[in-house]
Amino acid sequence: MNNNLILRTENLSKKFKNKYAVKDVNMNVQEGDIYGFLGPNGAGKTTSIKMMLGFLSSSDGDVYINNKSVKGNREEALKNVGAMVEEPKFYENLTGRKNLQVISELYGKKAKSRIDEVLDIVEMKEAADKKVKKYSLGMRQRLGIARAFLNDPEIVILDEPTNGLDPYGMKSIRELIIKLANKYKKTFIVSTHLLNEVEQMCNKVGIIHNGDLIKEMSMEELKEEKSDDISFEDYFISLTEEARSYE
Amino acid sequence: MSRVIKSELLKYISGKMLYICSGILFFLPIFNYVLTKILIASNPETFSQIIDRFSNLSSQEYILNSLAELFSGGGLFIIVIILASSMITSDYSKGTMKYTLLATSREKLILGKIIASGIINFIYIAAASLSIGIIGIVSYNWGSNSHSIIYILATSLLCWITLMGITCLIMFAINRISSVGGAIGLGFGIYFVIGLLSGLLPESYKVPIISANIYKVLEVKWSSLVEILIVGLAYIIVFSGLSLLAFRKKEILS
Repeated sequence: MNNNLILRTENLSKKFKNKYAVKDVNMNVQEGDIYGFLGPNGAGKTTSIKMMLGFLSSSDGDVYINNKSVKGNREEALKNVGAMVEEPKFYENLTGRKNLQVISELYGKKAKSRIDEVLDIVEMKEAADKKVKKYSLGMRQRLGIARAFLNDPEIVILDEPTNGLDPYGMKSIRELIIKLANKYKKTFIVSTHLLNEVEQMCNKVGIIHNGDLIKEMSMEELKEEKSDDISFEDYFISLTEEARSYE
Repeated sequence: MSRVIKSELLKYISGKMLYICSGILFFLPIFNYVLTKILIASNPETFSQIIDRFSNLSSQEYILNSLAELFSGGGLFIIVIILASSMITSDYSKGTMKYTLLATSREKLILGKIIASGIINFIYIAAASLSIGIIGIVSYNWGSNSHSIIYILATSLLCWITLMGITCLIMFAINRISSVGGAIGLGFGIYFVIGLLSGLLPESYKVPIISANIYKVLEVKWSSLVEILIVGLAYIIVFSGLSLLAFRKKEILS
């Protein structure tokens, strides 16, 4: 087993009634990766992430974070994980700072002392004392990333962090993720349905389609595998069509 | 678990709900008292029976009566039902449950929420008891019963334990509901059923029904207080245990 493997899933599956939403997903995320978890809407990205974080129980398989099983010891496995799942949700009537205080109480002293630091990291210090209900979506995404950073995690899982943002907002969140990964040496798993996002931000990609992880490779490998005369978009479509033909 | 309790309390202290509800419960007995006085003064003949009753009351009788009436009047129940129903479902419907669960275990979260709601219930009971106590001491003569202060304090404590029992029952009942409105509706349904059973059942069958026996505090018998205490504690233990089991298996979908 590779020692640098910070998160791996083993045959991770989730069945709702008689249908598999996620089936036998084997993901391998190494320390320092910005891992793009790519797939169209409804492919199983969010369900997989929820199982990684123990919000949903897996029908089969398990997730290991730093070799600790999420199924067996969720609290220990998630000790060094930060996350933002789906839309960033907050207590609307509290300020951004108060929202961070509520969560930092749960993490303890170290997180409490990091509130100003994380607000600074996501450039939200000035708006921190405004009520969250007055925030734009971009500000909420930034505050969501700040919340994910409160416990100084080794690995940060972001589910569609640029969803619903305008091109400027998308670019600024992408740049923020790259900055955080490089400056603070954090590992990121970023789920998205946008190819260009993965292309611009990630060093590794896992492509999920209809609940199956159909490819996992580094961006270099992907560029080598894809012929020069087709775009990433066409390559992605050809991969998902190939997967569909096996069903 | 103390971290969960602090975090839950911080949410309530930072919002308005705690202050508004405590204020309502503090001023409700004062409002009742003033209204009764005005009605009596405006039409003494019509309210002659009430005048007789009030003029013969001692401080301790007034306090015990008022505490028992707090339960039957509904004001306290409405506030506690809203608190118990929203404690879990608001986090679930707002989508903030996920972030709380990232930082703690499900067991600690549910027990922390139950204890935090206990602390908030205590503040509510204290606010109501304070104004009832002030009116009782200022407006009526203190009775002759030597154990009255301890008995009154024990009654306030029992009111709190009874409310905690109801809170645990509601928290368990709503654990499959994800909307705050639905949860509050079910909470009121439970309150209605408790009230119905209290009214319909014969005295000897009422014992296991929480809050049905709260009027027994007026008998000024310690054995009655013990009976109410046992029922309250049984509700707390059984329903917090059941909530724990149910929440451990809950899938956090939103």
